[in-house]
Amino acid sequence: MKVHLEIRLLPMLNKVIGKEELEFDFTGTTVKELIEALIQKYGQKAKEALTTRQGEFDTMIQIALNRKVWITADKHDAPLNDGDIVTFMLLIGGG
Amino acid sequence: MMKEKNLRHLKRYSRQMLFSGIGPEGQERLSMSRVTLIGCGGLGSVIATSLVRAGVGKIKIVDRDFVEEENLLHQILYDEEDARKHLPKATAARRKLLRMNSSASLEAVVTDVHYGNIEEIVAGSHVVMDGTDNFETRYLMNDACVKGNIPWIYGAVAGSRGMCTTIVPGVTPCLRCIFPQIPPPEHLHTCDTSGVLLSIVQTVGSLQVSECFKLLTGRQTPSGELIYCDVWEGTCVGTKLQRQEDCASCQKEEYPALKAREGASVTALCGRNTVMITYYEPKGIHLETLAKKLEPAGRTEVSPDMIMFHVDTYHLVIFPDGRVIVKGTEDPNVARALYSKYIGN
Ligand SMILES: [Zn+2]
Repeated sequence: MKVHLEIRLLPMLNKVIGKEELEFDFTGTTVKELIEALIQKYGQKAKEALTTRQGEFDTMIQIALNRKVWITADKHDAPLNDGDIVTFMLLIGGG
Repeated sequence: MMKEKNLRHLKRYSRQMLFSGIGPEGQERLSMSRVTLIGCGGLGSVIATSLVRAGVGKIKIVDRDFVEEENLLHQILYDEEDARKHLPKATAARRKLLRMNSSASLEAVVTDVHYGNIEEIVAGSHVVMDGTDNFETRYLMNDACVKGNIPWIYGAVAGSRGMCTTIVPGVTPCLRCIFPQIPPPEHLHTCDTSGVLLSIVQTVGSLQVSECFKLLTGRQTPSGELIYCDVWEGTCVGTKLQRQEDCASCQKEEYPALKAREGASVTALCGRNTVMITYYEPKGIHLETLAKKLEPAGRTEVSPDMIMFHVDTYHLVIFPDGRVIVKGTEDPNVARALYSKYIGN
């Protein structure tokens, strides 16, 4: 499947991938599989940018589908469709 | 007399005036500036301290919260006595800040910020500073500032990470351009869920203050970049932000956050085992009258700032603007029930 990826406010991941937006081809149908495919393709640096030291997905990163729906960390099995816009964005709320 | 005051002034701020980015004219501009700080917790403590020490003319500090022991780690304005007395943060902050700079002009406003009062709160400010811990308030600040053409400076921290950016209406992207909408609050990281290091609070607060000085002295135009820092990794990078053509705030001028939600009350979970209820009450609550009503029902302590009311296993903190913090439950319905039983609506 092919999705349009947007990487926002994640400078570490931007650096690894080399850009903020790209068309991304991967085998799989869910958000979870998309994350796994990203790590597979871009290696250790991408893994560090997307996961915590314990190896779990870093929940400070929020994922939006088609700029409308938030796929929260407990819903990563949500299905994707060809042509979907998937945005990864770092969101910090405290003060 | 006037001369003596000027000399003292020159001496006090001499090191800042020697810095070429500010200079004597910059210092003069700072002294004539009006800044509103919304939220005086971690970031707010750093911001308020820096503004007051730097000689900013007028500072308004707005906060709804009161000091608790777990604040003492990273909210550098407060001490153990403030926590013991549960003082409102804005009041405690003002007191402490006046000791740092007795000629500061400080207004402490103990209130919740909502759609009904935000425009009045920011009106007349040269810059509004973000010291809040939630996106609901930041959206209010964004929409009121964009509408009122007032620059504001976003800042947020959690864990070892933080970010900030300067928002100048009509020039840079606004908060809604960056985050068109926000995920449910329970999925957002705050200092309560991820912990926080004082060092990131100081880093981001200081970056916000530097941005503020650049705006106030008119020395430099903002970059439209978002600065991201991680003090644990030792990184600090900028990301260029884009304006969104369909932004409901800075393009369509709809300002969704300012739309009245009439008759509604805002109930928010804030911290562990605590629910906050806000009714927009233009006339406010007369604390002494209410305290007399509450005394027969449970232990009631009244001060000029608030009532502390203890009933069953619950503790209610009631503020004159109609806001109530209910401790001892996480259930909004229980909190609402207590509110209507003892305070009424
Ligand atoms: Zn905008």
